[in-house]
Amino acid sequence: MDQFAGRGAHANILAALRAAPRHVNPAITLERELADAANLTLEQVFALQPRLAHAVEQGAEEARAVDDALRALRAARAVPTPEAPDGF
Amino acid sequence: MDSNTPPTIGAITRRLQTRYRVPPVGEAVERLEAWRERIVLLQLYQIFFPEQFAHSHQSVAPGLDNATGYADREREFFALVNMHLFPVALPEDYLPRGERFSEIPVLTQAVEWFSDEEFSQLPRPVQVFVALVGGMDAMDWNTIVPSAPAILNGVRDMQHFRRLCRRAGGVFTDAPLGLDMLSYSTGNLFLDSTSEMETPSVAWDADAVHFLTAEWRAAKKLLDRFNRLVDRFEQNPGALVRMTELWNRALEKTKGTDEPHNPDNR
Repeated sequence: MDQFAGRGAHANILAALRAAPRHVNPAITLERELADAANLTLEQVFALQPRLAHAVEQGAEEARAVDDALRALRAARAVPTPEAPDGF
Repeated sequence: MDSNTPPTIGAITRRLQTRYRVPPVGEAVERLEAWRERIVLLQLYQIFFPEQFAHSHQSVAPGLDNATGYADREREFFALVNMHLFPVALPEDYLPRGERFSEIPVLTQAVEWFSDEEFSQLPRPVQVFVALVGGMDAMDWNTIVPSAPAILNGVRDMQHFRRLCRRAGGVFTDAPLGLDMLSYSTGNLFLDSTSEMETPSVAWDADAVHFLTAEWRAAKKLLDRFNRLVDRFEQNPGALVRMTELWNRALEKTKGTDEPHNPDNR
């Protein structure tokens, strides 16, 4: 996509992607922490409840949003560019 | 395998893959859901069995290959509930590894008589109760209590039957309980649900545990009374004949006549 950088919508998309903060689905983050639960104390495990509730709900919601975006991208029809790419 | 035998390379690889493989989001959410339920069970364990909880050495985390299943500490809680509070199904007896019950797996204790095998193993007084609540053919009835009158068809006035039993006294005083037990109408959750019915659906929380504990305490009292009743009838088979007579006298009368109300004759 870099060859389109600086041109209209493509430039905006690339800029947005580059500017996006690093993000991992909260369900994955917490699940990885809990994979080490054998080292957690009971108090630490019990204190996880609010984070668990948030991670389950937010994680599932984000996963749905990603699925929706992927489905939309796969269903999108090809659109010819009005400009000739460099080198043509 | 001997616990001193070093693990094979394959076993170590599998363990590392399980530990470090990042699961798909759906799987991660499932594992977190299991953790939510696990924490509820552990908290209930702490509330209802504080001493055992404090001294337990069982792990609160499930094994790597059992991420959505029960941890050993949860299994310990199930065993304690079963021993001290009320009957529950134990995961190791009913579930494959990695699976959880969605609710409290209440084990009902109703007396069942649906198959010929179950029926034939019941004590005779219980077979009679089954017959009175309409659970067997008239032909079989003669083989159970040959000297008893035929059971008349028709709707019973249960209040009247209870009055007749009270008036008759002795072993008959508690006879209506026998009918309630076999018709699953005691009003007790443990005695009114059979394996052929949908299991009562109750989520794990402290109120539910208190409720089920009280319900099971009441069920045990009813079961004790029922067992004593069956013993007394077994010692006095003639009383089964008399009970059948009382049952026949409890037929509902059709309004304005002395004729028994018999829907079959309509």
